[in-house]
Amino acid sequence: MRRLERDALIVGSVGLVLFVIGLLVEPRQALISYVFAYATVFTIVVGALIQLLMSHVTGARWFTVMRRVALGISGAMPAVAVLALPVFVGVAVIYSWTSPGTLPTDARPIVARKGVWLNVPFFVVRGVIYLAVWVIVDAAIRRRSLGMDGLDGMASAHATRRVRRLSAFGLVIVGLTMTFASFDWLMSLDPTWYSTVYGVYVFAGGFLAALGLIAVIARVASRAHAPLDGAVTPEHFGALGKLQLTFVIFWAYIAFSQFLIIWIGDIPLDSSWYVTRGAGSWGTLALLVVVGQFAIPFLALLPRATKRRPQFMWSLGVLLLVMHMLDVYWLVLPSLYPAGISFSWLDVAAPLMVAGFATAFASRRARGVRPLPVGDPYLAPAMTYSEP
Amino acid sequence: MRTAMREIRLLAEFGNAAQLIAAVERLRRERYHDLETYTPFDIPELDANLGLRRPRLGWFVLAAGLAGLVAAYGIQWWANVHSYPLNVGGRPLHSIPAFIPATFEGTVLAASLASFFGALLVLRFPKLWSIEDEVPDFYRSSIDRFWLAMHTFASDHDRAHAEQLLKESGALRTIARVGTEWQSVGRSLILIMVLFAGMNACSDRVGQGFDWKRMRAQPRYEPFGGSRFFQDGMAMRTPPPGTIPREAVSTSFDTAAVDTATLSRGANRFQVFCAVCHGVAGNGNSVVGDNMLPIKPPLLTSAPVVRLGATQLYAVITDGFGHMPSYAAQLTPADRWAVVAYVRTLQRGSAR
Amino acid sequence: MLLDVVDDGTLTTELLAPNWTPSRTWWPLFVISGALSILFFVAIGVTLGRGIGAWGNNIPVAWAYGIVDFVWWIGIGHAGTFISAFLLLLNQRWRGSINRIAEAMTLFALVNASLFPLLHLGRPWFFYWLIPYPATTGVWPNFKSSLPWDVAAISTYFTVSLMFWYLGLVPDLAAARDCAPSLLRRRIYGIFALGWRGRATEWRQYRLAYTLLAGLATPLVISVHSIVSLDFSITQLPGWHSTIFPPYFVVGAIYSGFAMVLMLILPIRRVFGLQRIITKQHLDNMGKLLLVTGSMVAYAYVCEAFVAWYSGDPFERYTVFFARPMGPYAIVFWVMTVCNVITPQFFWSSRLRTSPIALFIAGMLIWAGMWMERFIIIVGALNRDFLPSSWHFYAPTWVDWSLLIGSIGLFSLLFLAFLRWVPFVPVSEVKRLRFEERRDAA
Repeated sequence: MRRLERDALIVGSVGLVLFVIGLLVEPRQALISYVFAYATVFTIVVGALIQLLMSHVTGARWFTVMRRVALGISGAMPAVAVLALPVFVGVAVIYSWTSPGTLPTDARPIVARKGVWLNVPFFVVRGVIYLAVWVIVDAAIRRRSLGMDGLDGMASAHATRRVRRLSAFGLVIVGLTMTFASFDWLMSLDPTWYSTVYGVYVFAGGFLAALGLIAVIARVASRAHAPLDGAVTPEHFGALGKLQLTFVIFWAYIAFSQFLIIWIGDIPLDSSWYVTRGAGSWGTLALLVVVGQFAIPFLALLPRATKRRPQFMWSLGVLLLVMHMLDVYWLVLPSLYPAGISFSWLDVAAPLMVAGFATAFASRRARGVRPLPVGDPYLAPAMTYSEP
Repeated sequence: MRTAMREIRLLAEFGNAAQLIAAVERLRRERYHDLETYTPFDIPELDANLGLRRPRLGWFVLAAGLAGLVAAYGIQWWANVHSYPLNVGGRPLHSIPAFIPATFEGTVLAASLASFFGALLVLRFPKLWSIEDEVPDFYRSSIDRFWLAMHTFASDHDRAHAEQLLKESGALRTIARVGTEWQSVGRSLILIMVLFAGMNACSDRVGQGFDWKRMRAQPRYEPFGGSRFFQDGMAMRTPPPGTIPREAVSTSFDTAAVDTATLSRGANRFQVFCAVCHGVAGNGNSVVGDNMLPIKPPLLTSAPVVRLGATQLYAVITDGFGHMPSYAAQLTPADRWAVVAYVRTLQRGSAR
Repeated sequence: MLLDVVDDGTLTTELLAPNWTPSRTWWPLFVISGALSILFFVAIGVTLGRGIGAWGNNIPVAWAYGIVDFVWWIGIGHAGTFISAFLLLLNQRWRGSINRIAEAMTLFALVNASLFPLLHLGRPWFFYWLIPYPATTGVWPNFKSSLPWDVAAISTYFTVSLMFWYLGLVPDLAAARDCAPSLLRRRIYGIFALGWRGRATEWRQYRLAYTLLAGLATPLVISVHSIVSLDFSITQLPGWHSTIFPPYFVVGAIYSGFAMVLMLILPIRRVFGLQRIITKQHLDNMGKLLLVTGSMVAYAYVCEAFVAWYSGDPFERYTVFFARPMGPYAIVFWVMTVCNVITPQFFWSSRLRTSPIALFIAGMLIWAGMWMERFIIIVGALNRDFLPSSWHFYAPTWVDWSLLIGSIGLFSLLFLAFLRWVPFVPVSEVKRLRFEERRDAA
């Protein structure tokens, strides 16, 4: 853990230095790349939090052994909150609705009608609220969950019920805030465009990537002599694989419904977003994401045997993470380069910074946390879990 | 049919599932094989000990699903891109996103049909007879009794040992030798013969009973045939006085009455009703005409049609001909004659 | 579950007893359903004879009660498949007692649902033109429209549901065959039981085929209602052209379906004394599912409302903020909101979740509320579209009402027939659960 923290901190610092240089040299590129990096990370962290909450609410026994992994990832939430700063500070540079004069003439009246919502003070206030909600929910769950470690018997059963109620409530507010965060921070990059399912789309991608990250960490942590060795078995990977398969299909379903409805309706205001993202190099990237985030994982996760192999799940987890990154890239960068992909060194620097600091903070916070939730009454059945 | 026909050499009845599972385990350990169990509910724990192979239904379902996918997509492509290209609001002829939903449904339908009928096929259902029915109270296998059947033994001693083992495991009773092959074969033979006989009753190829003469010489009156019943000796009657036939108009036409007004009317009616298939100039150049299967509308200006009399043209409009439906409802007799007159002018025009 | 109070034999006879002699309440309910079904067929006859003019449809409200009823019934059907198939895949054992009732509900809901699109055609006798076959006219259905997708989806859904329901029934038909009190009944059940003997080889195939069908039925459920939602969202009408429609409709469908499942199983539980089979735990889970799906529906409402405003499109804003809450159907809108959004929130309380009365009332409110939601979406958007000069009020005629009420009558008729003659508790699954309980306890 210490080594991970130290390495991540170094990576993050390198990223920070490069990012600051980028800010001075080409601020718009730097900040948009930052939005891309930040969106990738916050969707994954919030995705992990949502998976944590869902596992408490549904009472899925098998996930108990991996619960501390999810808690570890969502532990980066305070860092995620702080790392949002460049987005708020650079609002005027990132979002074109801050300066309506720069918008094309036909877009101005439309954006003006949203002025009540899309203005800098309200934007920042809302952002702070979203982040506060996430940090608080994460802290509350964390406290309850870690607090259960010392309990047993009746106290443990009570605590489980309380955690379940808290998680149910947490899901509602995290779901809503996540939706509006994606509307604010990502959808408004294109201020005239709108899509009602956008929040679900961003959530689906982030959630899937979070499941991939959980698989990666669980694999690493369940090798010989590692903390989860013996606890996380091929049975658990099988169950995780089924969950991943479900959400691969879910993501593809949401992505396709958004696409089909806009494409077939062919209303200029709607479809211009897809026209930009479907042409030339953006189109190729879109195809790559469809193949890499749907086709390959779908076929790979169908057979029973593949899901049970930890090494395979690790590779698939890496694929899902990379694909999510590309997916967010495809969402964000066309607002800067509508004509085609224009790769910049900042597209590497910004993720290094955000991911590095987030990982460092998460590892630090995970110090001293038991790798398994010992006080949880579901732990025993989870350890002996066998896939049906 | 095989399972229903196979002889059972030892049958044991148990009162609960746990005893059955234990008994099967013991038998397996003592290397008995070729067992079958009958339980009121699913007991997957038995599968391993019974040595059941993993069913291959899954592959069949997958193959069927793929076939369904190709078929569903293919039908859509053929219909909207190849056979009758359809431009819908400027969307591409080959609209891949639009074709996906129905393709998905086709895949699922094919795969599901394969699952259901595949299972029935493998199980050879319906299988309404089975040797086990000979055993008294065997029907309780679907209620609260658990049966075990053994089919093959190395020797009689082997069999006795197994029987002993089952009694020790808690079998309520054991039954030796249920049914013989011949009994079951006999039953299926009877069924086949009955079905065959039944089929023969209707087939006129195998049977000799069909009376062709009755069809050829029917007791009815032919047109212009005679009848002793009526005074004039004819079977055909004229309509009673005071009645009028349905087409109570003259089917003749005064050619001198054709004037410009009639021709314009005929032209107008032709454009509205006939040009769709026959083409504006009667030459068959129309979208509907081009796509019509299996026969295209005849060229109105071709020789065979030119040779038709005006009354024949009128009859075609009134009664239809082949694919062409009757236009009697859409065109009054006067309009029909106007159209016939117009067709004549088209024919004359193209002859020049 | 206190299932070890009773042994397998008594359990079987108890569970199958309703199939031999109907309960006292059955006949009056059957007669009433019969009367409503007759009303249904009369209304169908009027529709076929006089045409769609007998309905209240007009331009621009070309789709009204007919399509509202269609979407509503299909939605109800989805919960059945969800309980049967989806919960099977998730290994939720508690589904065991109620899944057959739920599947039957799906089938009969689909019978109703498929009638409405047929009736709403101007010339229903030409319905087969929607099927792609080589026609003499050389014309094919237009697959760029969602209406042929509907045809594919609903026919697939009906076929798959029927096969899934029937396959699951086979072992219980065998039990019914073996318990039947008369030779005639034995023969009839025997034929439909296909000669099932409960062999291990048979169970193995059955298990695989059943799981495969469940695995296929789950995405099918989602795709069918998504395609139904695409009927609206692929258009450009404000209030219809919304990308969240597919998941929103699917969740709404399951929501309305659960409400109806509750309305069915609560009386059945009471009348047939099935409290040991359908326990408080089942009720609790159903209540939670109502809460979850209801919250998702509320989430969709929020997204729709917000993004309609956010879009800046004056037509979208008008539809969501003026036409619906303050327009000619404002009452329907507000009742709907209360029924769909507020009702499920009561189920945060675990006491209410296990109260049959509360669940039944909530079920009724949601069942009706979801019908109103479809009405608001369909008629609300059509009645006030882009040009004020095209606005036209819609009022249903007696034929519209008869079709709606009559379809409920036909549904209950079929459902009562099912209760009377088909084993409606999956006897073999209950026995399996009992076996597992005793094994785990030992």
